[in-house]
Amino acid sequence: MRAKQKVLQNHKQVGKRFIPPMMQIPNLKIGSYPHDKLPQLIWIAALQYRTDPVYGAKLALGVSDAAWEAIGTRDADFACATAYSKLTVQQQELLLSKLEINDMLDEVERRLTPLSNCYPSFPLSFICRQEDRPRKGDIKVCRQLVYSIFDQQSRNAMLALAGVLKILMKSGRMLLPPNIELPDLNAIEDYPKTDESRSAGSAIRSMTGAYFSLSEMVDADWNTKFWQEGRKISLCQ
Amino acid sequence: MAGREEDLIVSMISPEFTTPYYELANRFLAESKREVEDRSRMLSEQGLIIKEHEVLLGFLSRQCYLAAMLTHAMSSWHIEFGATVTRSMIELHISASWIALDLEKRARMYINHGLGQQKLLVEKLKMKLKNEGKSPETDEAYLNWKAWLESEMNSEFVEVDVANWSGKSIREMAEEAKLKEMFDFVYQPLSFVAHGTWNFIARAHLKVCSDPLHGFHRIPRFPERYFDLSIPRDAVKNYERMLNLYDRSYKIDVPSCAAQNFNTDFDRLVRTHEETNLDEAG
Repeated sequence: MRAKQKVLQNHKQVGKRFIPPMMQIPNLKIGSYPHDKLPQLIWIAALQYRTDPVYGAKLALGVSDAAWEAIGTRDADFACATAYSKLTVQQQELLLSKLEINDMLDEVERRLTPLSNCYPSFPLSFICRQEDRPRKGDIKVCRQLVYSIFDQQSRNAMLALAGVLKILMKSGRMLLPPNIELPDLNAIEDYPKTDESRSAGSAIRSMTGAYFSLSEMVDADWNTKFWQEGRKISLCQ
Repeated sequence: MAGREEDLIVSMISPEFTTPYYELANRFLAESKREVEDRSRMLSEQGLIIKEHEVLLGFLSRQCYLAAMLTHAMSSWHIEFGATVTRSMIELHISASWIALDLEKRARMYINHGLGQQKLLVEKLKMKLKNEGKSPETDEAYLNWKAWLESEMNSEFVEVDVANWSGKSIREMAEEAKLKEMFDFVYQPLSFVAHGTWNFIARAHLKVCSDPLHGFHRIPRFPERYFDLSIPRDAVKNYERMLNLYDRSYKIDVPSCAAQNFNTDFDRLVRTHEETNLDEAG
């Protein structure tokens, strides 16, 4: 006969509290994807939105490449939006000229302009000719964009996280032990249709999760401002 | 809520529903009152005259009263209002079931605790009045409360126990009375409503704003017009439960009809009303 299972059996009881197994891990930092990560990767999602994922990723890498060139080192976290707010005016101009040389400026500007117009604090707004207020259609684009990545497991969110990972790997800021066998991360382009893509997705979520849990960007002002300014764009529905 | 359903609910406050409904609610009141009075008479006939036997009778009387109130007040047929009273009825049933396991001893514990609480209240009031420079002997509330206490027992002999009257939590009493499921799935959810815990507030009083730009935050939800028909049904059921417990405890074997009549008539009335209204709407 099977032993009767107790409710919350795998929890640790401390007085009247029942601590779940995950919370028993010391020094664990709990992050919220929508609050801590989404505002940081929205610029990548905007560059990838409704386009070929390879092309979108190329644009995102192009922007981070230009930023590294502008500051003269790869020791900066240009996967996260907040990093761009630390550029000086001179560095911003250098970044723009690099994008222009690589024939990416117009496309990047076109794709980031709705965010720039809707969010006064958007860290990459220097790339765009900012308007005083959102143009017709900007709010709709932003709404669709945010909706498309709000669920961390959605295809668009996965592609944006893959974009984060590509930038991190290129920067050399994410080092993996040589004995770790990774799935083919390029399979993410087919996410979530194939087993390989889902396996890649799982690895990407896990690696970016570790990165964000250690990143100082989790506490960045932009995360808070993104949602504060979002609430000013439109009335509640 | 769909338009048709709302029409149906709104129509329930029309005389076509309320007139026959109040007839059956009045009938329930009369029949349940008679059932409780019969039990009171039987207690005397059985020669059970010590106070301990008044405890379950008091419980039965209260359930009858609360059921009558809930069935008569249609405005209370909403989770926020009905749940508070229903929870109180469930708590009383758990207490009664636990007492019934060792009736005289536990009923005495219940009485003693209640007298201790009254003594504490009287003493606190006395202190407050003295601190305000007033004489307790001229304060009407003090005199009334003290007079009731003394009529029950000389207050010099009344112990005050600030713990639970049974020395057990409601959950423990429910477990011992084999009412654990009632505790887990009825009493606890009703407690969420009564205490306004987050798992209730978030679902009942807030809704998610559908604008993605706002991060799916919550905004207030305002009451919809509807009647929760489980409120009067549960009230009557709780009265019936207590009546059955009482009869089992005192080995009473007389038929009772108030709850059954209410349930049958109420179901029929609601069904007829729904059919009529849906026909009219359709």
